[in-house]
Amino acid sequence: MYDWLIIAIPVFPLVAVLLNGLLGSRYSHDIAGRIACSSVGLSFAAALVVFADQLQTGGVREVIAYRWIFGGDLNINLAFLIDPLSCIMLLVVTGVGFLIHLYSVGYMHGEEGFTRFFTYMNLFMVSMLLLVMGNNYVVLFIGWEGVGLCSYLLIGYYYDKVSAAKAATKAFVVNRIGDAGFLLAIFLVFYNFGTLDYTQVFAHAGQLSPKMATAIALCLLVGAIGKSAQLPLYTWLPDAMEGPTPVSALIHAATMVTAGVYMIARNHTIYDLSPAAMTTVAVVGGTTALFAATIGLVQTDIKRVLAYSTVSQLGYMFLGCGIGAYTAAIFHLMTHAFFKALLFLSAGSVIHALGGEQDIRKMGGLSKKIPWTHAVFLIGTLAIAGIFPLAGFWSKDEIMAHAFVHHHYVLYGMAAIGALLTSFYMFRLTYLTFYGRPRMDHHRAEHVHESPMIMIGPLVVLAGLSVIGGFPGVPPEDGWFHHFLHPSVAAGAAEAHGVGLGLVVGLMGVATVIALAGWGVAHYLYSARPEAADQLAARAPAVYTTLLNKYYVDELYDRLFVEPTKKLGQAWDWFDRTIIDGLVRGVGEMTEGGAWLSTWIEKHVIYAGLNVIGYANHLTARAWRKLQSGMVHHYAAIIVAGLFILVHLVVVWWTTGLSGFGVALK
Amino acid sequence: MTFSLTLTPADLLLMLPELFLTLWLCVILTIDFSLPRFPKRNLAYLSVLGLAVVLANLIWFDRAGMTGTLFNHMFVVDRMAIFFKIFIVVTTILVILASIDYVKRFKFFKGEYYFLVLMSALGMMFMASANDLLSIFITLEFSTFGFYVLVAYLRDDPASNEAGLKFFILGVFAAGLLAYGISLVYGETGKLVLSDIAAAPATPGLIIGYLLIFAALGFKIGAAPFHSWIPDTYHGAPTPVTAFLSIAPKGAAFAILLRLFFISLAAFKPAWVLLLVLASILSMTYGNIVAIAQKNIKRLLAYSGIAQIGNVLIGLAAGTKMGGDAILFYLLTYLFANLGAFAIVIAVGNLINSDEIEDYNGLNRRSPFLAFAMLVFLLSLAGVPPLAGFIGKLYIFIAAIKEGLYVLLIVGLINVVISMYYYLVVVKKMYINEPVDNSPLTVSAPMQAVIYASLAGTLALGIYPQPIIDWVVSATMMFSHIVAPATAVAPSTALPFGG
Amino acid sequence: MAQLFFFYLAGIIVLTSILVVALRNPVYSALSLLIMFFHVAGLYVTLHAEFVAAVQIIVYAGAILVLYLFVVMLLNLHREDRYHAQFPLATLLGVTILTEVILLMLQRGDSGAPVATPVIAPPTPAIGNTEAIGEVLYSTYVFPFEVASLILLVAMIGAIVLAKQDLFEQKG
Repeated sequence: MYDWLIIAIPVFPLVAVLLNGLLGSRYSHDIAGRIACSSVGLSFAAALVVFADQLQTGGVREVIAYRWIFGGDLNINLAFLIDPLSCIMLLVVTGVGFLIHLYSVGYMHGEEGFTRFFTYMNLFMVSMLLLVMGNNYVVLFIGWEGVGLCSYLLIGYYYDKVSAAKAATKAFVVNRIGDAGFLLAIFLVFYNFGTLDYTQVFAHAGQLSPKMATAIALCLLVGAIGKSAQLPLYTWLPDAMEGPTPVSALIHAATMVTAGVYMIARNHTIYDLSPAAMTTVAVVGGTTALFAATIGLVQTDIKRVLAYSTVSQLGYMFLGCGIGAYTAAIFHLMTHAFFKALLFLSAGSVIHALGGEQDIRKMGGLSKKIPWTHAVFLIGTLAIAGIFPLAGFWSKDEIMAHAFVHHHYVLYGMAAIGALLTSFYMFRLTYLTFYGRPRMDHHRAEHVHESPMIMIGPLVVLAGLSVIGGFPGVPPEDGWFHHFLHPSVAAGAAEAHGVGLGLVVGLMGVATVIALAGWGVAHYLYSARPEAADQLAARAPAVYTTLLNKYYVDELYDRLFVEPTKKLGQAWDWFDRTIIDGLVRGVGEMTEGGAWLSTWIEKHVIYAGLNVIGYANHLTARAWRKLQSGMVHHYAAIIVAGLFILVHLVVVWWTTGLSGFGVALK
Repeated sequence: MTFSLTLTPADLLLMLPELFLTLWLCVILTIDFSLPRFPKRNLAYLSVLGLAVVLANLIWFDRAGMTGTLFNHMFVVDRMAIFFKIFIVVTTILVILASIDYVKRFKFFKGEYYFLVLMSALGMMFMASANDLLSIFITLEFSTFGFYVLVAYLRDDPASNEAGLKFFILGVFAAGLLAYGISLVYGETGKLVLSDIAAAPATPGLIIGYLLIFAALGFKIGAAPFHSWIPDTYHGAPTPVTAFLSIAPKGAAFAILLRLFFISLAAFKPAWVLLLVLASILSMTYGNIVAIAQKNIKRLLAYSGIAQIGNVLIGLAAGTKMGGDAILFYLLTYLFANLGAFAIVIAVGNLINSDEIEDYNGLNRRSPFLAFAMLVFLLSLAGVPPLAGFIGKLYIFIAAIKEGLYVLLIVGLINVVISMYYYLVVVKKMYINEPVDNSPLTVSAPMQAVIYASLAGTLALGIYPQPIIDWVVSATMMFSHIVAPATAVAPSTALPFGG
Repeated sequence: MAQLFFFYLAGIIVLTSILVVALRNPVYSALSLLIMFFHVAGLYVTLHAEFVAAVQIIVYAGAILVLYLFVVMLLNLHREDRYHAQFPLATLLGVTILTEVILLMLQRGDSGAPVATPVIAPPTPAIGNTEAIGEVLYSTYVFPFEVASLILLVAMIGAIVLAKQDLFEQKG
C-alpha cells in the first residue's frame, strides 16, 4: 500500500538534485533553496507516514524499485527494506537533515555557490537514504560511496582554501581504505551465501563457520571504522571541518559518520556469531572514545573540539555495539544526532556572529550578545555531558550501564573516564566561548550579532529534541524505544536480562557525579581561576604539546604510508624513464675499451658503483641522447625479461607438480 | 586443377560487415585522392556513416542470432565475435568524431588518417572473428599496421616520431614472439584451429609456445611485464590515436585471449590461473603506483590503463563463464570512461595546447561541462558507484571470489584505493586550483557529441546495466560448457545453501 | 645423411644469427644475415618445401637484404655499440632459458607423460609443390591470404603517408 511512498522518500531529494543541478543557474538562490528544503521536508513527511504505518503493522517490508543487475549468478535489486531500525534511521536522517537544510538557507545566504551547495546536500540526502533503506549490501555500498563522494565535494566546497582541498582528498582516500575492507566483506558474503540480500544472508548466517563469520565481521568493521572515524582511521574527520558548518553538522556529526554504527547494528546477526569480532568492536570503540576525548581537551578551534567529541561519541556507539547493546547504540546514535547537530549549528551561529572566527581563544563573553545561540549551545553541552534528564544522559548511561552489568569493567572504566573528559572539554568550550571577558579584537566585538530567525528556528527545535530526546528510552532497557527496535536488533540472550533497580539508579548516580565533576573542573579552570589552565599546561608541557598535536598520528601516517607510496611511484617512474637505460648504457660504456672479456668483472663492479653515484651528473648530458635513442632496445629487454620470468615460473610449477604455488597464492 | 573452396552467398553474408567496410574504405580512399576539393571534415562524417551501417548490420546479426563459421573454422561469427565487433565499431565511431578537430593539426594526408583508422578497425574486426593461430597472427598484424602509421602521424613532433618508431620496433618484436609461439604450438600439435588444439597433451614445446603467444597478446593489451611500450607511445602519439589505441586493440586482443584460454587451454586451467593472477597483480600494482608520479595526463591515463587491464585479467584468471561475462562488461565500462576521459584530453589539448596535468588547474571555472564530465569519467575509472566502473569492478571481483581467488581480490581492492588517489589529484586540480588563464573554453559540436555519448554510456551502464548484462551473458554462452568448474583448484565454491 | 644436413644447416643458422647481432659493423651483420637466409632455404629444401626455399632466396636474400645493404651504405652507418650493452644480460637470459627448456624436456621424460606424436610431414602430393601451395592458399587458407593483401594495402598507404610528407615539406 505504501510501496510508492517508500520509493518516493529518496526520490524527492533526487528530483531536487536534478532540478538544481541542471537548471539551477536559471533561477534565483531563493527558489533553489526552497526546492532543496521542501524536497527534504517531503521526504521527512513520507518517512513519518512510513513510520506510523510501521508502528501499526510492525514487521518487515521489502520494496523492489527495480531489478538492477540480474546476470547469471549475480542478482542485485535496487530494493528497500523497511523495518524498525531503518525507520529510526529514516526519521533521524530526514528530520535532522530537514532542520539543517532550513538552517543552511540562512547560513549560506549570499554565497556564490549557493545552488551548488544545495545540490550536493540533496545528493547527500539521496545517498544517505539509500544507505539506510537498502535491502542488500550493494545498495548499502552505493549509499556508502555516495555519502563519501558528497562529503568530498562539500568539504572541498570552499574552492579557494588549499587546506579544504587537502582535507577533502584525505577524507575520500581514508574512506576508500575502509571501503576496501567493506567490499571484501561483501565479496566474502557473496562467496558464502551466493546472495547479497540481508534477509537471505541473515536467515542462513547460522551456517557460517566461526572463522568465516569473524572474517566477514572484521572486514565490515574496517569499513565501519573508516566511515565512522574510529581508531586508526579517524584522522580525516577533524580535517573535514574545513567544510561549511552545516555540512559538519549534517554529514560529519549527525548522519554519515553514524553509518558505521548502523551497518554493525544491521549486521548484528553476523557479529553475534563471532565473540572475537565483538570484542574488537568494543575495544576499538572504547579506545576511540577515550583517545579522542583526550585530544579534545586542548584543541582551540571550536569546530575541531566538536569534531573530536564526535569521534569520541561514535566510540561510545561502537562500544555499545561491541558489548551487544545494539539498541543502546542506536539510541545514542539518535540522541547524538540531535545534540551534536545542535552544537555544530550553534557553533556555526557563533562563527557567523563573529564573522568567521573559529578560535575559541579569541572569543569569550558572548552570552549576552547572542542569547539565543548561547541558550541552545548550553542545552547541547548539558545534553552531551550527560546531565540528568537530558537526552545524552539516558543514552550514554545505558551503554555504560550495559558494560558494567555485563562485567566489561575495563570498558566501563574507559567509558567513565571518557565521560568525565567529555563533560570537561564541553564545559571548557562553553566557558571560553560564552563567558569571561571578550578576547576578540575591537572591530569584531562591535559587529557581533544574533543570527536570523531561519537559523535560530531549527536550533530551538533541535534544542527541544536534545532535552526530550531521551525519554523514548526511559526506563532504561525497557522503554518504548527498546520495544520498537527489538524486532530489528534482538540479539538473543545478550539484550534481555533483569537488573536490580538499585544497581540501575546507582549507575545513574555515578554517571551524574562524573558529569558534574567534569563541569566542576572546567568551571574551576576556565571560569573561577582562568589562569590555572595555563599553569597546568605549563607544568606538563610534553603532555600538552602531544595532545595539541593530536599524538602526531597524522605525521606518523604520512611517514609510514603516504610518503613511501609516493616515493615508490616516483622511483618506479624514474626507473621506467632512466635507470634501465642508465644501467645498461653504463655497462656499455665500460665495455667500449675493448678486451672487455678479461676485465669485465672488475670493471663491472667498480663502474657500477661509480655509475650509481655519478649518475646525477650524467643526467643532463644524456637528456638529449635519450630522446633520440629512445631506449627502445631496453624496452624490448624488459619484455624478454618478463617472458623469461614467466617461463621460469612455469618450469618451477611444472617441476613441483603445478599445485604447490597454487595453494600458496590463494 | 580443383579448388576445394566452397563459399555460398549465405556464407558471405556472415562476412557482410567486414566486406562492406572494406568496400567503404576504398570509397573513402578514392574520394580522398580523386576529389581534392572534397572537405576532409566530410570524409570523417562519411566514415562515421559507413561505420553506422556496419553497426546496424552487426546489431541485426546479434538480434537475429546469425552465427556460423567460414573457411574451415578459421573465421567464426558467434555472439562473442559480434559483441567485440560492436565494441570496436562503437569505439571507432567515437574516435573519429573526436578526431575531427585534431586532424586540422596535420599538415598533409588528412584524408588518409580516416582511411587508416578504418583499416585498423577492420583489422580488429577480423581479430574478433579469428579462430585459428594463422588468422590470429595475420589479423593482429593487419590491425597493428595501421597503428604504426597513426602513432607517428605528427611528423613535425619528435615525440610522435619517436613513439611511432618505438611502437613499430617493439610491435614487430612482439609479432616475432607471436610467430615463434605459433610455430611451436603448430609443431607440437600439427593443428591451427583453436578448438582442435584443445585436445593436445601438455608438452614443453606447447607450453613455451603458449607463453610466447600470451606474451605477444599481453604486449597488445599492455599488461605488465609486457607494458614497457605503453607510456612513451601513448604520450607521443596524437591524442585521438592514443584514445583509439588504449581501447579498441585491447578489446580485440581479449577476444583472442578468451578464445585461447577458454577453448584451447581449458584443460590446463590450474596452470594458467596462476600465470594470470601474477600478471594481473603486477599490472594493477605497477600501473597504479607509477601513475601517482605522473605529471602528464596522457601518461597518467597510460599507466591507469595498465592498471585497468590488470583488473580485466582478474576475470580471465577466474576462468569461468562468469569471468568472461565480467570481462566483456568491464571492457564496455572501460570503453566509455576511458574514451570520455581522452575526449576531454583532446578537447583541452586543442584549446590550450597542453597535456600537462598542471594546466588542468581551474578547469571547472573555464568550462564546468568539461570538468564535470572528466569528474564522472575518472570516478567511473576509479569504480565509484553508481557509475559504470563500479558495476564492472563488482562483476569482475564477484567472478574472482566465486573461484576463491582471495589474494587477487585483496590486491585488487588495495589497488582500487591507490587509484583513487591519483584520479582525485586531477579532480582537485580541476576544481580547486586557480587557473592561470580565466578565459572560458568552448567545445565543438562533434566533440560534445562524443562526450555526451560517453557520459550517457557511463551513467546508463551504472544505473540501468540490465540490458547490457543480458547481452553480455548471452554473448559468452559458448563458454558455459567448455570451462569446467574449478573444483580442482578451489576447495569449494560455495556453501551448500549458496546460490 | 638427412640428419647430417640438418645439423650442418642448423649449426650455421645459429652461428650466423649470433653473428648478426654480435658484429659491430652493420655491413658484416647484413652479410651474415645473407648467409643465414641461404641456410634456412637449404633447410626448407631438405623438408621438400622447394617453393618456400625459392621464395626465401628471392624475397629475403634477393630483395630485402639488398635493400638493407643499400640503406646501410647510403646512410653511412658507423659502428654501433649501444646495442651491445645488453650482451651480458642477454647471455644470462638466453642461457637460463635454454637450460630451463632442457629441464622441461627432461622433466617430461621423468614423469613418463606420453610423448607427443611427432607431426608426420604430409606425403608429397601428386601434384607439384608449387601447385599444392597455390591450391591451399586459395582454398583452406584463403582468409589469411586475403587479409594479407589488405596488409599490403595498408602498408603501402602507410609508407606513402610517412615518407612523402618529407617530400612535401622539401617542396614547400
